[in-house]
Amino acid sequence: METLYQQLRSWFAHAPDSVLFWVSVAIPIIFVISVFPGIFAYTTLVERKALGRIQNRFGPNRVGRWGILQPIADGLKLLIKEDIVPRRADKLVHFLAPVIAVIPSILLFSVVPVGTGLVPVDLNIGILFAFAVSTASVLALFMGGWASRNKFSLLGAMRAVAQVVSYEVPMVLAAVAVVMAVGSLSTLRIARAQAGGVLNITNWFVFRPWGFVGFVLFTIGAMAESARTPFDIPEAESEIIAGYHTEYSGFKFALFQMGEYLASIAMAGITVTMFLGGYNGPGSGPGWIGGLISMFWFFAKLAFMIALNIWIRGTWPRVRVDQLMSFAWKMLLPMSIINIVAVGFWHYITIRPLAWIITTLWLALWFITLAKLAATEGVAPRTYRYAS
Amino acid sequence: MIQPLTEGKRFTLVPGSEGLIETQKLEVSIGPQHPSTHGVFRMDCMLDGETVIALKPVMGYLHRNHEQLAERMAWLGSMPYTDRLDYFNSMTNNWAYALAVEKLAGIKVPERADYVRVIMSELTRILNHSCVIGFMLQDLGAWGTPLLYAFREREKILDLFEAVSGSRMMCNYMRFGGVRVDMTAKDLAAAKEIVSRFPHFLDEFEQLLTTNEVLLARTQRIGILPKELAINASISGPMARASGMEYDIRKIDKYGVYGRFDFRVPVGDVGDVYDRYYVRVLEMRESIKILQQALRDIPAGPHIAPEVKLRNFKIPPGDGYGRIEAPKGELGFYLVSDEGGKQPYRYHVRPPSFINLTTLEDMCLGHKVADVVIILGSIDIVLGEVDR
Amino acid sequence: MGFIGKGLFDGMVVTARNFVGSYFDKERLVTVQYPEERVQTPENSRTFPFLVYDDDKSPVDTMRCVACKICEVECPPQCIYIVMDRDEKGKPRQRPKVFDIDISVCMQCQICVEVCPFDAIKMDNDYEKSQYGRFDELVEHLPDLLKSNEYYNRIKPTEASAVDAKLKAEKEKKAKKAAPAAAAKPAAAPKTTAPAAPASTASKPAAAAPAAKITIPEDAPFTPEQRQWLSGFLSTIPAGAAPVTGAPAPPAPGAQTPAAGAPTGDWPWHDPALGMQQRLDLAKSASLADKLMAAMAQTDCHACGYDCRGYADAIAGGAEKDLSLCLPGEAETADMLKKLMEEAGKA
Repeated sequence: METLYQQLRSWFAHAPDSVLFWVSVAIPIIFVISVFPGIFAYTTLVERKALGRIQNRFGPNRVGRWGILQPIADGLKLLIKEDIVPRRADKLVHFLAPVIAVIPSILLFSVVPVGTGLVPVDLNIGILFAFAVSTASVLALFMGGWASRNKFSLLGAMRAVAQVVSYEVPMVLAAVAVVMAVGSLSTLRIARAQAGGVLNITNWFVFRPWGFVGFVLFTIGAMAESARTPFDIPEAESEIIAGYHTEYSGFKFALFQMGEYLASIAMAGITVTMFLGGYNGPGSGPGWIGGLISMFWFFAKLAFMIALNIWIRGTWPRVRVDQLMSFAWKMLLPMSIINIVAVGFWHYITIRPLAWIITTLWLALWFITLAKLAATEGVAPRTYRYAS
Repeated sequence: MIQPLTEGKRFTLVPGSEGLIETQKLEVSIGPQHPSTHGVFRMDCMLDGETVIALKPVMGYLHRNHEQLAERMAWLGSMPYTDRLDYFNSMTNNWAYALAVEKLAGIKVPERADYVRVIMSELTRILNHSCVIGFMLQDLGAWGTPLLYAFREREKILDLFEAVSGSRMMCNYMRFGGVRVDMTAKDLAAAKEIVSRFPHFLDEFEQLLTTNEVLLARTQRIGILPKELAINASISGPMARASGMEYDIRKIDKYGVYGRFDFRVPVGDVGDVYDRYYVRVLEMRESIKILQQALRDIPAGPHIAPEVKLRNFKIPPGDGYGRIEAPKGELGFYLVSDEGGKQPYRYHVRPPSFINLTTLEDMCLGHKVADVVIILGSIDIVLGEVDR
Repeated sequence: MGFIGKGLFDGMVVTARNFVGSYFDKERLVTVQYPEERVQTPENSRTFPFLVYDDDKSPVDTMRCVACKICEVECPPQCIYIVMDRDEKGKPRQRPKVFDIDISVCMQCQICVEVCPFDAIKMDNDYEKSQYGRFDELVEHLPDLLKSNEYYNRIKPTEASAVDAKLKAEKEKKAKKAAPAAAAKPAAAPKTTAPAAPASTASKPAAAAPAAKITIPEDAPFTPEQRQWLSGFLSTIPAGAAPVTGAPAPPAPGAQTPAAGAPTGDWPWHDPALGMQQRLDLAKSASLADKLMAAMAQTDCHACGYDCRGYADAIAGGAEKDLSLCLPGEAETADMLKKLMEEAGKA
């Protein structure tokens, strides 16, 4: 934002200061508010169509050609729906919960760099801000469940809180590995650190051993944060109908959905920034052309992460809540700590090939050990006999 | 930590933990309106946190007076009503009723009719098993993908049913002494086509599911039904075979022409949900074998015993019980004919789903709410049968 | 070759294969986009019943249904309601005036088609029958149900051509049987109970009966149906000859036969709803012809070529030797007729 302010100053030298200030504040806000909810709307459509294709059917294709107008139709429908509030629900909390679900998700976008030098707010503590804000949305889940005065919703809310809180930790620790490698909490600097290399690709952190493990950990954590399958227990339709947002109808429901999808897109954006090289790609760089290409690469990688989310959603069943917790605490958390140690090795062993070998061996051996230790006994494919 | 089952069917979670922390038990009613109860079925669960400590199934929401209706109609008139008992597999219901009446009246069925009956029954079995697995996975949270694959295969079989009997699901096809119309050469060719494509679909289905770690973690060691309890509760069908009972009515009674086919009966050892799932997969493969043999060996001949009348069909006084291995278990009809003999004096259905449901509580104690839904899915109930 | 997570990976491969395949392979995208595309239902597919008529110019006259009410009796959910058509004098025409099928009750079980002796009711395959109301709009009346034989041939060619062949063969058989009777017609002038087939107009013994027209006056103590019958009966007595116990006129469709279908005072067993034993009990102490009539199905459907009374009289009088013509009664009636005839023969 500051660079934008200076840029604008250099163009409109005779404009008053305060106007330029407010303009430079408004432009990123307008950008975030228009682009990312638009991406959210069309992500819902793409998800439904992709899930349909996976399941051998068309997705929505009645509203407009290829269903292009479907998100608009959905939004309109939810807007004109009757807003039902249970009679003995806690009205204020019931009203505030969807609002609190959406705000942190939008705030998350303010630290995601979408192009070279293009980040709405260049905070020194970008990553810390991102995690702080994403955790704030847990409050909304719990408020929604509590205010509905419904046993099922309460169950859903409690599961949601447990899940989000326990997956925060490995996620943050995986991010810590990246922060250690770069030496800064600022997202812009993390993205910049991945520039260079062959075609601007080989420096991506996902191609380092600790980065790959970190990427997997962070993706799993991000999926659990935003309650996507296989971790969509808070809204597990088949058991507790819709969990914490059972009693919500109309636009409040839409806001909950928006909060969830925006959180998942924002987390995907942060994954891209930290592990997949941010906006770096062949042809990206400073300047106008480089900037446009870098934006293209960023959105392409974002699309890839969203597609991965949708693909996984269409394939795997849901884990149970206690299995989810044991997975987080017994498998992911130790792995993330080991990852941090691996980054340490990487940083201090100056001979590159040796660093590669030692880091990879360290991570692989610990992974296998943890998998063996944490495996539930008796869970394995079996062979069957036939009656005589 | 979980006490073994006692007569009182109540048990404590951790011996000696009462009084340590003040907790409240939650009474929850799952259903009757619920996406995963396979129909209108209610379970009153008492939960301690997430663990089930008592469960009472409540049935009767779909009671349609089937047995009473049969007492005022002629013998043939209740054949369409048997379609609607287990509305998923109408052909096998028809066969069970026809078998009971044929036993009572002493009618002999020509060979070709028996072969056609076997073909239809085995096709029904494979469509039932694939869809049951699909439904169970839908409850598990795999958003419809295996279910829609199973339905894709089921469509082909339903198209064959429509071409032969006139209706996709409510076939009303079996008559006393044979089948209503014969299968033409075109129908037999269509059946051969289905049978040749099905193993390929089964391989893909298994690749998607059988070694999936999430599925393994979710279904193994869940809902274990010990063999003694299965025998005492007169469980039948794939559920019994998964618990180790080597009992298949096709092998024991050899009704129809089942004695001529070479097929094996898969038996599980542990009796958990995964066993029930996998026994069904193996049974589908065995059914394909039976179908191949039947389609190869089907003789020419009449398709119905010519001496049986459609109207004014009278049965001498007596009673009889006819049973078959329906896809869900042992489906039996107990018929009593009195003087006059134009209508049954007493008509009783032994529904496999209802009898299998009686062990629901024993299987669910100590598991989480999420597991209750899976266990219910693995019992494979259809409310039309449970409530008649 | 199982690495940790192989099962998950395999699942992803399957889903990816289906996703990519759905763009190229018809097998992997099985949606039929109704209503722009429709699945061609197979020939045997059945939805709701309809009534067949043979000639487009007069559907009501050429419909095959004779209102024998067998389908009404056999229908499991009892969704059919039939009222026989009667002319101004109250004589039944062998066709329904009211034929209602409530398609919200109909189970589409096809039992009515199976039991119809006249191939009059067949199953349609039209499934687009939704209406805007739930009650009266879903009851189909006679005009909706009547569809032509061409339509039937179009929707179900194999079945319809088999039915057409069967009906043609039956017609020819009846014509052959009527031909020798027509030859013996002039010699049996007073015996107007020749087993003339309803469809063969060639041999109409009515023209051969020189009957005097006697009409019972209106103030006589009879019901209209009884008056009717007596008039007809007495008219058959040519001067000096004994009254013939039998139908006074040939039983062509719409013939002047006494009212049937409702239990008349004289024939309490003449009710299709009674069972065989009940009917025989009611006719226990009556004449042989009455007992024979009680053994029949009481639908006056003319499947045998007469109405029920006519057939019984014909058998008793010896004119009719074939005891198995009662179609609704089937083997039960045939056996009972045989038994009664044997008992009568011995007595």
